[in-house]
Amino acid sequence: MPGFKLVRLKNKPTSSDNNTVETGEPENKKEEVTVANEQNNQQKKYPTTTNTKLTYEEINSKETIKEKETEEKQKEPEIIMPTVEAEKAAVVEMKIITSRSKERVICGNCQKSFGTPLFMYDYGEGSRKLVGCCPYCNEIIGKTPIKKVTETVAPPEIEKAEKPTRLQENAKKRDPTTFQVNSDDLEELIKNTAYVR
Amino acid sequence: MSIQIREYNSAEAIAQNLDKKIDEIKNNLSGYIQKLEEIQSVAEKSKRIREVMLKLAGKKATEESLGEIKIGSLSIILEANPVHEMEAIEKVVQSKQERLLTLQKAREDLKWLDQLGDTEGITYTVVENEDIPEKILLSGL
Repeated sequence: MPGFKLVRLKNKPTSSDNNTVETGEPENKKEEVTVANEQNNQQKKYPTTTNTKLTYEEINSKETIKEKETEEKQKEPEIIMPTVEAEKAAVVEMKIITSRSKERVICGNCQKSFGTPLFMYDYGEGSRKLVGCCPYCNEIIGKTPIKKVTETVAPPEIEKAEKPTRLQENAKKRDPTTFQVNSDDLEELIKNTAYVR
Repeated sequence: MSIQIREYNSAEAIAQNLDKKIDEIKNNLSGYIQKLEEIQSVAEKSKRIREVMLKLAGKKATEESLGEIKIGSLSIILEANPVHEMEAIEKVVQSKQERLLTLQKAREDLKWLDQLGDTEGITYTVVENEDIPEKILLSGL
């Protein structure tokens, strides 16, 4: 056929090579395109030295920023002034809270259930945080209740070792030298003594 | 809105006054919430019974309550039911809750005063809006 010729591929030999028919012109174009693609891929896989320099500088700059931050923290002024409020107002926060669907909450401390918790700010972790509290015991919801110290004063094992059990006490009371008499035996004993007399 | 001026001898006194108010309102609010919890169940029950009875009777619930009379800005409810009471307590709870949060914020803003240290001879004239400090005038420096 005019304009067509049989071409054998150099890099990709296949089983159906003998039957492939390709044009001459597109082959050249394909080769050009593939060369360009390969260059792009190589750039992606192995970035140039300029890129690596940038990243290295970036890393260096980050480290310096961190160092600066630590220095600034050390040089903090003695009097800390309140910062300007950029957060939501209390009224807005309340509206968000009240718009939420009401669910029953069970307090982990007093085991009472309630629908409306007492909302207040918690400054325990340094920053301000809106938390819900139990209206009965004022315990923060979701926090694990702190165990009382009195519960762990005396370990039970020592008590057990010191205190004798009930059986041991009874055994102590029962002296093997003492004379034990049942009610039947006592009657018989009385009869016998009377007979002797 | 009530604005008043109060004088304090130290920054601690201002903070203590705020702390006292926060505790007061917290106790007050928890009491109201407990009341609300009690009345909520009663109100819901009465609402359900009302709905069932209206369904059985084949009547529609009228939104306009005949027992409510308005005199000027004041509304008087005759034959108040648990739902009315619940609504009233809900309003109180909401306003008290807002007040507690604003008081806590005001207390947080006053934290820097604790760091001033010895301030003998200085008088603190505080302009308070609804018991919340708005302006502090330091004199005798």
